[in-house]
Amino acid sequence: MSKKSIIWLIIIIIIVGILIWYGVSRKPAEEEVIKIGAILPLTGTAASQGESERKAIEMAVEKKNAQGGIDNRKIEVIFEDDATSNSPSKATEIIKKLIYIDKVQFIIGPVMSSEIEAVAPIANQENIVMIAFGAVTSPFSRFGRNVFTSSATFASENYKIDEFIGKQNFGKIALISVNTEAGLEIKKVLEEELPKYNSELISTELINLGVIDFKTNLLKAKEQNPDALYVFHIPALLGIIIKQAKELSIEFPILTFHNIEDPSAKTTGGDSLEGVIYTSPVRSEIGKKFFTDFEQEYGSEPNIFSDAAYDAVNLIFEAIERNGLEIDKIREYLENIKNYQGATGNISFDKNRDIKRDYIIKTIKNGQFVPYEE
Amino acid sequence: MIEAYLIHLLIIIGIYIILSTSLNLAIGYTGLLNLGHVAFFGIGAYVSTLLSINTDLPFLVVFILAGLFTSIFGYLLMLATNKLRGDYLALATLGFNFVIYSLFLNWTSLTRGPLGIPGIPKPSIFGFVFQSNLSYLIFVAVIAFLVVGFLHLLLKSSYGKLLEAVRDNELACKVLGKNTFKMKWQAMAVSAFFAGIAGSLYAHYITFIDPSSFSLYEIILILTIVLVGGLATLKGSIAATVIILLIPEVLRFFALPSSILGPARQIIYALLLILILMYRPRGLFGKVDLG
Amino acid sequence: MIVVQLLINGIIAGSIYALVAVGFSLIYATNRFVHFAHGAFVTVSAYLIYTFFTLWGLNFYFSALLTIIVAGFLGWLVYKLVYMPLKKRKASNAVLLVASVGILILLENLMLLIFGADVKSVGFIQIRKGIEVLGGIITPLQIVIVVLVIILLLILWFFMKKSRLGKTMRAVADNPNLANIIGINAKRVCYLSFIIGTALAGIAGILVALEQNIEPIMGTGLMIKGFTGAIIGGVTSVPGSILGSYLLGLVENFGIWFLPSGYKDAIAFVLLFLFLLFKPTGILGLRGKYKEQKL
Repeated sequence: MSKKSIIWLIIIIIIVGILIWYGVSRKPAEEEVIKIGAILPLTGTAASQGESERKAIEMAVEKKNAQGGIDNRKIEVIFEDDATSNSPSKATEIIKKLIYIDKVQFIIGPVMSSEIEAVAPIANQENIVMIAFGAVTSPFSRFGRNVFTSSATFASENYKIDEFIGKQNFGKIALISVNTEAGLEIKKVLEEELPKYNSELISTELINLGVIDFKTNLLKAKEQNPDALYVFHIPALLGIIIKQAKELSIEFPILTFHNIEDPSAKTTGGDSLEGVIYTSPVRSEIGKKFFTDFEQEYGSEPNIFSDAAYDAVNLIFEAIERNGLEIDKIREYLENIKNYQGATGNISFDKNRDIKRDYIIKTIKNGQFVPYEE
Repeated sequence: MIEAYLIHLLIIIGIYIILSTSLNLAIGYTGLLNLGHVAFFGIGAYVSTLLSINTDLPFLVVFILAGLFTSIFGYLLMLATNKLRGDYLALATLGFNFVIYSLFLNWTSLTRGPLGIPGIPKPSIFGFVFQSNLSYLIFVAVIAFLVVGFLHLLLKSSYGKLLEAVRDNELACKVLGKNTFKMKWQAMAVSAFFAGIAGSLYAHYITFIDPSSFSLYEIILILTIVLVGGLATLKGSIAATVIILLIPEVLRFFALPSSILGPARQIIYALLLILILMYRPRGLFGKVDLG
Repeated sequence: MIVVQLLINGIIAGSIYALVAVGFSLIYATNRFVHFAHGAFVTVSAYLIYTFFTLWGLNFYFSALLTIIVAGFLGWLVYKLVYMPLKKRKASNAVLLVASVGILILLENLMLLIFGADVKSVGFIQIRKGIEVLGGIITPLQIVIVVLVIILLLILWFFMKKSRLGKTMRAVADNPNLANIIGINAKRVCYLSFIIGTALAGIAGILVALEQNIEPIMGTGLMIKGFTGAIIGGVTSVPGSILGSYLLGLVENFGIWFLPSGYKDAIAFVLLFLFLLFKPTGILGLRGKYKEQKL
């Protein structure tokens, strides 16, 4: 066959392949199943978090399906991994595939503010209800009418740490944070709140995602002679920052957020995490039950944000049970949620659709996560 | 809703046809191994985004301005790299790409850096807003058609023949009195212009841009398309764009978990690139070799 | 003192870049094409030591030796399968460059597929507090890296200057046709230097794995830095590429004292671009036009 014919053959085969796929996917009986799409970091630096979230969601779905589903329809969750593409605009491809090809009616996730930002318009345009969580920022209502969150912002943990800072008389705080929306929000809250406790933010280092050498940033912070160092990043890199800080003989206290409990922080940080002080959410009764159920089912503890994932999917169930599958009614129902008892605690959306949680101060002693004692 | 997905695919294909044919103009017809083409794509995207968000200029004006602004960079790049050849030219243009990427990432007051720019408005021309994906597809298709048509006419003309002569033997052209630098920068500017408008089309479709869309992986993708299609052939670039962009969709057929899909896609592109260079360096319809 | 600390950070960074650059420039000097995939071999070696030591629990030094050998072997494999056929067909340097970029992407994504994208640690050196040196702090591991790199570079220098193979390599680097005439098998020298260069990437991979943790995409960044260092110092000159790498390390670390830290990579990119435009032969490179050759 001539060169040209081979090429035409290939093109034809691919086109035919697409048409077959088109035909095959027009399966009937789609209506029997309620489909939910989940966009999670199943691989990558946040994989330990994403995997745990997936398990939490599956646990909820299994439970519901065991009860017969909703209105005799089973629930099916289609998981997609957004971490290997590592870019918000690629996340838009994932959500399009979920909506157009898998025909999901609801989306859980994504877990990063910039990705939520990128995919929210599509959820709004296609009238799909989306419940994101993780590194969200406020005001959440800016993401549009169909988008909700089941977790509080990282910045809201600030308020508790600021109290602590006040009590300990840390007059000067240095911040090292990843350069994302969440990081910027934390900086903003610090600048607003610290003066109330006779303290001030004397140095800020914003570092782009992907950088793994923080030595010069730590040095710059150290030069300012702060009383404490406040760190924010994804857990794997939190471990690296703290390890490098200890290597540089940084002696003053290191403060951080609840995501330090993620195992990937220990993998990279090891023993250097000893003595770190952080805010951790108070666990509700349902939260404690979720914890033990998860442990029983999977043999390990749930990771950070798994409770938020669990709540997200259960909120969807509840909304469907009370309103059927009408998106507009579901949206209205969710908008007006007050005092929903979830694994993360008491969920109420304020006028900005933000959630508030309560926190306690914990520390790492002998490798264990324990409440902080004076 | 498969039709919706097909429309989405076709829009992406349309944008990449503009990108690949314009790159072929530079590499295939003028002999300039420009690995910085994606920087042009990005500049067009950011300019279009910033202008449409921050000014009241009508979309068509913004669109053309994005192209023009990018073509200035095309000229500048050619000016800077005029004396370089072959792989050194490629490396310098690659360096250019990284520098521009760095700008996108660090000039945060302008571009918001890694946070990206959300909420890019859909284009509106004379009051008609391209809200639906179908209308956007028609828009992209029209532009792509115009671009390819223009390039076809340009390259068939004596100007086109002259460009190819510069590619084949620049010294001889100079001896014959041609201003080869002028021809090269003109070709580069045109190539950059189209990459710029492709960037604008992309930005207004995805409605969100951030620096990560303009990195090494994009370069590999476009380079693979141009090499697979062949140098100095427009229909080659078009065919290759369709084939290569459809490969990941065919992969879906195999229901692989998406953690495998991502790297698998890149591996296929890389293998395709290497195999083409080794066994079929002229690609599908190419008329010349690389370098 | 800050200056001392920045100096230390710069030397540590420079040592790592130098390690990457020296293998690369050895390959370039003899083969005369840009083997951009060199960075990927550093990544692969890092994963190799991770596999041997952390996953399979072999003795560390044995794992290190094994890594270097396997790295060299993989280099030979890639050379034989891809570069040699291309060179035989008199492929242009541009083709070889693009092929090498393809190999880089291929290898990185293979690592991604096999090992996943999360950051891995090798965990051989326990975290120990840094030692204070003249007002700056350096950890024992970092001292080991710097000293090791210096020793390695000295050995390499000796080898290139005094040993027979080293001299033939320099002859081929200088003028392959003449070398052929004298009876040196330039082709053999070329692929030997490729293997040695890749073995050097193996050593780089081990040290980077210990000091910086492992990610699949780290090769691209390291390659760009190493390549920039080589270009700054003179890519055809092995000592030049070492000099350039240390310079880059220092400029980067002093630079981000004053600039926001996002600009660290930007410094390297801008330097690369400027040198390619205005002084592609680098500081110590060949005077005048560099010789392009095909074997």
